[in-house]
Amino acid sequence: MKGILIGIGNPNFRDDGVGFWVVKALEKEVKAVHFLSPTLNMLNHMFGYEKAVIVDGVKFGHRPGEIVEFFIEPSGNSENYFGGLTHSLSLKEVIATGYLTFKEDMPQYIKFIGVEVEDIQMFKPSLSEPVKKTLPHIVEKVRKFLTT
Amino acid sequence: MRKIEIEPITRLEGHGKITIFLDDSGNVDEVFFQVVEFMGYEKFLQGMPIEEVPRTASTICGVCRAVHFTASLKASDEIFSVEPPPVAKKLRRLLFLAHHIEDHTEILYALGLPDFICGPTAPPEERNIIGVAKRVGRDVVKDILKKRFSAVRIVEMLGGKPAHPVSAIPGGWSRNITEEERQEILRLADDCIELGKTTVNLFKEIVVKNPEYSKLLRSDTFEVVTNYLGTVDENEKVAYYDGTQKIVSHDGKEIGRFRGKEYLDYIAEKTIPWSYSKAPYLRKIEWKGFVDGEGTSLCSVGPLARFNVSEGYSTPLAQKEYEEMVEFFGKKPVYNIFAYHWARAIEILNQAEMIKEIAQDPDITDPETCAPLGEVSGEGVGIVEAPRGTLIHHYKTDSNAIVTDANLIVPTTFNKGSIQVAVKKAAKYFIKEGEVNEGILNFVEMAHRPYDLCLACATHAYPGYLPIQVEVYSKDKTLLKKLRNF
Repeated sequence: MKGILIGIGNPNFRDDGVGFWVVKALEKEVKAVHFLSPTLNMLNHMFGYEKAVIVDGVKFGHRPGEIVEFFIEPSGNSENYFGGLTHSLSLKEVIATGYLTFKEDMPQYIKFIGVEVEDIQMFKPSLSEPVKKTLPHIVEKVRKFLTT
Repeated sequence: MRKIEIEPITRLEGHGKITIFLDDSGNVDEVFFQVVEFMGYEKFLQGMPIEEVPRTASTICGVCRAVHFTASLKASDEIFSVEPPPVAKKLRRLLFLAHHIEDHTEILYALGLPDFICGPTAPPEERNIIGVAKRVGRDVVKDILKKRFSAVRIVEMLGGKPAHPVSAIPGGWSRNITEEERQEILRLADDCIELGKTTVNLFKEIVVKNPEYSKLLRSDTFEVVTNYLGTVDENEKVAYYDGTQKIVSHDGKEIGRFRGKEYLDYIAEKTIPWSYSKAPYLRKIEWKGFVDGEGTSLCSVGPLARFNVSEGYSTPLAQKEYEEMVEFFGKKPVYNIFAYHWARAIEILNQAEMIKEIAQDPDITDPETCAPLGEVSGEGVGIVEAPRGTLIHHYKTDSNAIVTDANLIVPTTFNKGSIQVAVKKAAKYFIKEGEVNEGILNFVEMAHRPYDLCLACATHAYPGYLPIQVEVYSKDKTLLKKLRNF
C-alpha cells in the first residue's frame, strides 16, 4: 500500500517544526514532504497515494509532547483540530477541498498526528525537551502506519 | 464613551485586534487596528552569512515562500557587487511570477471571492472555497485548482523544494533548466493563462455585472484615498521582479521615484504607542496620522497600488482588461478597496503571459547561470513587488559578508494605515447611534481582506479561521451585546 508523510511546521520556531523533524527522520524510508504551513499545494503531493499521514504541532492545552491522533473524514469535519493562517487556508479547508474536488485522486485514509507544543515563539531551530522525547514515538507511529 | 472590541481569541501566530470607541451619541469616534507582529527575523538574520539569508528568509512565511527569498537574493547580489547573468534573472522572474499566480489564486478563491460568490452575509463556515465550489460548481473549482497546480509546479521545479525555494545563490541561480523543462514551462504557462482568463471573467460575471456588488465597487464607503507605491518598467507598465519604484499622490500625480537605498529618502516609519508594528508614511509629506484624503501621508501598496501607479500591464490580454477596469471606474487612481481583487485577477493573467514570454526564449536553458562574485560592498537593498505589495529587504554586513543589520518593510506594514482607515469606514457604516448591525463582523473582515494581511506567518492559528468577537458596552460599562463568528 502506497503512503506519504506530510510534515507541517517551521523548524525555526522550536516545536512548531515538529512536522519537519519527523520528515527528516523518515525521508529516506518513506515518501515524505515538508510544508511550512497548510496549503493547497499539499493536495497534488497526496494525489495517487492510498494513505497519507499529516504531522503538525498543536496547542490544545495537553501536556507538552502529548500526541493527538485521528483519521480525517473527507468532509474535514473529524475534529476541530485544524490550523490556518490569516491569509491562507486551514488544514480542514485544504482536506475538505481536496475531497470535494479531487475525490478520485485523494488518499482513502488520511491520519492526523498532532503533537502538543511547549514553545513556538523562540527563534531556535531545535525542539523542546518534551517534544524531542516524543519524537521517536511519533516516527514509529508514522512508520507503522505507512508500512503496514 | 463606549468601547467595542473585535478581538481574535485563540491565536498562536501574530494577531490583530480591532478596538472601536464610540462617542456619546453612539457613533464611531475612533478605531484602532492593533497588530502583534513577530518580526524577530530581523534579529535572527543577524550574524548569518548573507549567502544563507535567502534560504532562511524564505521560511518567514509558508504562503509567501518566494517573496522574501527573492528580495533577500537581490540584496545579496548587491552585497557581493555582482550582476546576475540574463538567464539567471529570467529564471528568478519565472519562479517569482509563478509564485504570484499560486498566491493570488489562493487569496481570491479562498478568501476574497467567497464574500461575493457566497454573499457577504453568509456564515463563515460557508464563506470559503468549499462554498465557492458548491455555488459555481465542483468541476469549475477543480479546473481552477488544476491550473493553479501548474503554477505550483513551476515554483517547485525552479525552487527545488516544495516548502520553500532553496536554489538561490548570490550572483545567479544554482542550475540551468533543460530544454524539456522549458517545454514543460511553456505548457504550464498556457494553463496559467487560461486560469487568468477564467478568474478575470468570473470576477466580472459575479461582481462587476451584479448590480448590488457593482454599486459596492463604486461606493465611497469602501474608498480609501491614499498615495500609492508600486514598481514600473521602462514603459511605465507594472513590474514585479525589477524596475523602478514609483509613488503617486491620491490624485495620481507623480511624487517621486526611487531604486534601492533611495527608499530611505521617501519612506519613513512612525512608531505608534498602541501597536507593535511601525507605520510607514511618505517622508516628504510628514506624518499626518491615520487619515486618508487630500494631504494624507499614508501610502498603499499591492495590486491596486500597482494598477494606480502604472499605465497598465506589459502583456496584451492583461492590458485589455486594464483598459476595461479604467473605463468602469472612469478615473484613476481607483480608491475602492474591492478593486484590489479585480486588479489581483488581472495580474494573474499578466503574470501568466509574462511567464510564457520568458519561456519562449530558448536561451533560458543557457548553462551560464552564475556570475563571479565581486568585492563585499557591506550593504544591499532588495526590492520586489510581492503579491500583496512592495517588499523591501535592507542588509548591512561586515567585510566577511556576515549580516550585522537587517531591516524588512513588508507590504502589510506599508498598508497598516490604509487598513486602519478601511476598518474605520466599515465600522462607521455599521454602527449608527449605538445600534450595532451584526453585519459588521463580515464587513470588517471584508475591509481588511483586500489587503491580504500577512502577519507573522511562521506558526498556525487554531481553530482554523479568524475568530472575531464584538462586545458592545454602555457608558456605565454594562455589556449590551456580544457578537461572535465562532
